[in-house]
This record gives sequence, C-alpha cells and structure tokens, in this order.
Amino acid sequence: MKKKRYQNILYQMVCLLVGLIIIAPILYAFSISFMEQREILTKKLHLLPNRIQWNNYKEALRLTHLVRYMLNSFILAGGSSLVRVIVASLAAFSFAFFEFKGKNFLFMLCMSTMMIPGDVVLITNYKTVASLGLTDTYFGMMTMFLVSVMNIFMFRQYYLSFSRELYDASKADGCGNLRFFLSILLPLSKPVIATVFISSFVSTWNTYLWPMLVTNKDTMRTVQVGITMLNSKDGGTIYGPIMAASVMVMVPTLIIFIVFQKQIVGGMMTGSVKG
Amino acid sequence: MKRLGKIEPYIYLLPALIYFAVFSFYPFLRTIGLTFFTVSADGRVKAFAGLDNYIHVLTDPAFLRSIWNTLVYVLMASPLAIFIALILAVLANKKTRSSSVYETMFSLTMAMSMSVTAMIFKIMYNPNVGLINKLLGTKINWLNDAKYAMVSMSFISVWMNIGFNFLFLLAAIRGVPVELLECADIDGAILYKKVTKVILPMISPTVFFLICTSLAKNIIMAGLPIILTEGGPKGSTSTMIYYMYKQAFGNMSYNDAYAAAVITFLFTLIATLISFSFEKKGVHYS
Repeated sequence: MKKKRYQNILYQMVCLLVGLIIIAPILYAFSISFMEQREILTKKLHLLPNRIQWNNYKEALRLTHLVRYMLNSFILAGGSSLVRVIVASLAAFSFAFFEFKGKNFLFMLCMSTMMIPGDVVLITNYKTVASLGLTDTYFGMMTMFLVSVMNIFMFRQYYLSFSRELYDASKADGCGNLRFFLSILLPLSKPVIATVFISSFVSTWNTYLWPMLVTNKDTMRTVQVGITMLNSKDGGTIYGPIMAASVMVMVPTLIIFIVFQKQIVGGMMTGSVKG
Repeated sequence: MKRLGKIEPYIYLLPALIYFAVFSFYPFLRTIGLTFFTVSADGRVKAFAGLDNYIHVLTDPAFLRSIWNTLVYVLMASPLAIFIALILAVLANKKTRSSSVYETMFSLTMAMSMSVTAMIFKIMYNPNVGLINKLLGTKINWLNDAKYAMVSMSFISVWMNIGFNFLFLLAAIRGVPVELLECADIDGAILYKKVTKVILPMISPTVFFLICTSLAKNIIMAGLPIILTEGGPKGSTSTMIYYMYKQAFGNMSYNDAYAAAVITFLFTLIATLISFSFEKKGVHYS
C-alpha cells in the first residue's frame, strides 16, 4: 500500500518535471526580463537572475508605446470578439430554428469558407480594405476577424441541443422570433457565448500578420507588431527590454487561458471531434 | 407580417453571408481570376496572360525553393508536434492530485502568440549567448546558417502546437472505454502495446483531425520568416506564403504573388484530400 503511494507521488513528480521542461521557454523569458545586461551576455550557463530588478520593464516602456499598443490590441480583440458573438449567434439562430428554402445550401456555403485559408486571400483583402480607406483604423484591423464559421457552427450545435418545444411553446404564447432570441435563447446560451468570446479574444490578441499589414502609424500598432519592432538586427544589446515587453504582452493571454481553460477547451472540442 | 415571416431567417443570416461574400468568396475568386492576367505594380489589370504567370513562378528558383522549404517544414513540424503531444497525453491520462497543474503546463503553449514566441526563441537560438548552444555545448548559428535555419523554425512551430494537440489527444484518450484498458491490463500488456494496440486505434479520428488541421495550418505559415529571418539566409527559410507576401508587398509583383497564392491553396487542398483518403483506410469510428 505504502509502495503504491510512493509510486503515485513519483509519477506526479515526473509529470510536473516534464511540464516544467515544456514551459521552459516561457519561464526563461520571465527570468531574462529580470536580468541585468551583463548577466544576459555572459558566456556561462546562467538561468536565474541574481536579483529581481525592474529596469528592463522601465526601458521597454520608454522605448515603445507599449501602453498604447496594449490599448489598441484590447480594442481590436474586444471589438471583433463582440461582433463575432453577435453575428454568429444570429446566423446560428436561423440555421437551428427555421426551415427555409436553400438552408442546407447556405449552410454548406458557410462551412466551405473553412477551405479558404485567410493568408491565401491576404493581398486581395488588403486591397479591399485599403481602397475603402480603412488602413490605420480599428475597423480596418478588425475586418479579418469579424465572423468565423467555426463560431456559427458552435452556436448551432448548442442551439440544436435545446428542445424545439421551448421554441414552439413561446411561439404559442405569442412571443415573436426576435424576442424569443433576445430574452430566452441568449440568456440560456451564456456558456457558448463565453467560449466564443474568450477564445476569439485570445486568438485575435495573438494575431500578427494582418494588423501588421494594415497599420503604418506607430500609434495604431498592436502589441504583437509593436514588440517585433524592438527586434533590431544587432538586437543583442536590448534583449532585457525585449523580454520584459514579451512578458507584458503574454501575461494577459496566459492568465485568461489559465482562468478560463474549461470554457476555451470545451469550445474547441465542439464539433471538431466526432464519436 | 406573413411576408416578413418568409424572409426572416434570411435576415438573421445576412450579416454573416455578406461578410463571407466580401472577405472570403470575392477575394478567392478574384485572386484566381487575376492569375490569368498581367497586373501592374499599382494593381491595374493590363492584359490577358494565359498561364504565363504560373509558368513564371514555377520556373522561379526562389519559389521552387519556397515550395521545398514549406514541405520540409510541414513534414518535420506536423508529425513531431502530434507525437510529442501524444506522449504527454498518455502521461497525463491517469488522474492524480496535481493533474490540473501539469495539464495546464502541457497545454499552455496554446496561449502563446507567434511574435512573442519568435522573440523568445530568437534569444534562445542566439549563437553567442543563447540557452540552446549553452546547453548543447555547440556554437551553431541556428537561424543564420542555411543548413539549420528551417529546422530551427520547425522546432518553434512544434513547440507552439504541442498545447493544442495535447488537449485534443487527452480528451480522446480519456474517452477510451475503461474496460478496454483494464482488459489490456489483465492480459499483462506493456504500456507500449497498450498504446499501439488499444489507445491509438480508438483515438484515430482525433489523430486524423489533428493531422488535417496541422498540415493546413503549417502550409500557410509565414509569420516566423517575416519576424525572424526575412526568408534568409540564402532563401533557406522562405515559405510559399512568405514568397507571396514578399512579391506583393516588397516587390509589387502581383503576377507572381497571385499565382503563388493559388498554388499554395492547391497544396492545402491536396493535403486535405490525401487526409480524407487516409481517413477511409485507417480511421476507426466507433
């Protein structure tokens, strides 16, 4: 009996050790962000800072408009996630509760957008946004992230789990479709709303290529674009501030991910794994 | 009122449909259409070109190199990330008191962004002060040596994808009926046998799904070369989408860029089709 307990503890220790190895690059970034210049540039193996000091963070904030970038990223991620929830929940409402001509065709049409990778149509979308004069605007940045067919699919799956009786009963009570949607369906859909909002927030916060393309002004940059601007060719001298900036950029998503892990994971699994 | 009833479902769909029309179908068809024309640097259509644009990029050594690099990257990064995640999922399958801690650790790379990850690995790969050379006792210039640059990048992608793959594989393994695993235990099957004979066949739909998504995701990768190497050294890290990006926004050569985009799309399509034929043969749905 005792042997089994030791085995169990040993097993957990091994798992935790493997976990530390997996997240080592993240821990290393934290560690470097507190190191002094000469500690970073030493030729010897040096894993932990001699003492905690915040100079790199001050320097990162001095070198870039990091606070402004954060605000931009926040507006971009929050705004597009909100639109995603609205558009996806409406479209799924139509697919799940109505019978109409061409429903299956339209559904397949929506699903087929999954086959078109965003990067393949990058240039044409850039031209569209540029010709509308939307470069260097929040709306221009959001355009790529406003609707996702996966979100429509997730909402639809969730709605389909409701019994139709709920809908029929409220209809018999004279409740209009829109009112049913707003005052009955949406309040009951809080879990899927949370999933869609949180997972799109994290993915939009983390996106790089599109915000980089449509912004030229420094004050409109997002955090992901902003920190790569610290990345000069002979960047050796400012590794400390770069890592401090990286830590400030990744901490919000890491916290969101750890706190809302259940919602994010639950949403990812919807519809993607059958059986 | 009755008339409204008929068009009502379409109204709810309208925002999504307009969006897909403007930002998916229109650019997709336009991109394909423009590959058959010559386009000037300011984006105006000049003349019909037939297949000239395709012939031009497919005889451009830089693009051929990009195709090769992309294939190397995909064939290294996709299987390895799934394999490592599978080991982690088998490890984490058994629930213990600290399960939630190491499960979070195993999946945490999912929350990391491409640019932050690139910056961290840039320091770790630094030939003089980087952690990797210090640990291995080597003096390799990982990102600036044509021999190692693409492999180094694949490794970054492997690390980033571990978390996503792990979560799916863990859910799948936990879904394997306990009786099956107990039977294997009674038969005295060793862990390796248990994994290959019982777990793998049962989770093959998930593995299949992960292969599909990671192939498609990795074929269109461009962020790492943009941030880290600008396709160098000597074109050794230029991927297909990176080539497209550079031709369009760097050289204003839209002829090459559109053709490269469509060829890349064909690659993702082929990857999906191959995965589907594989699905018919090797995937067991219970």
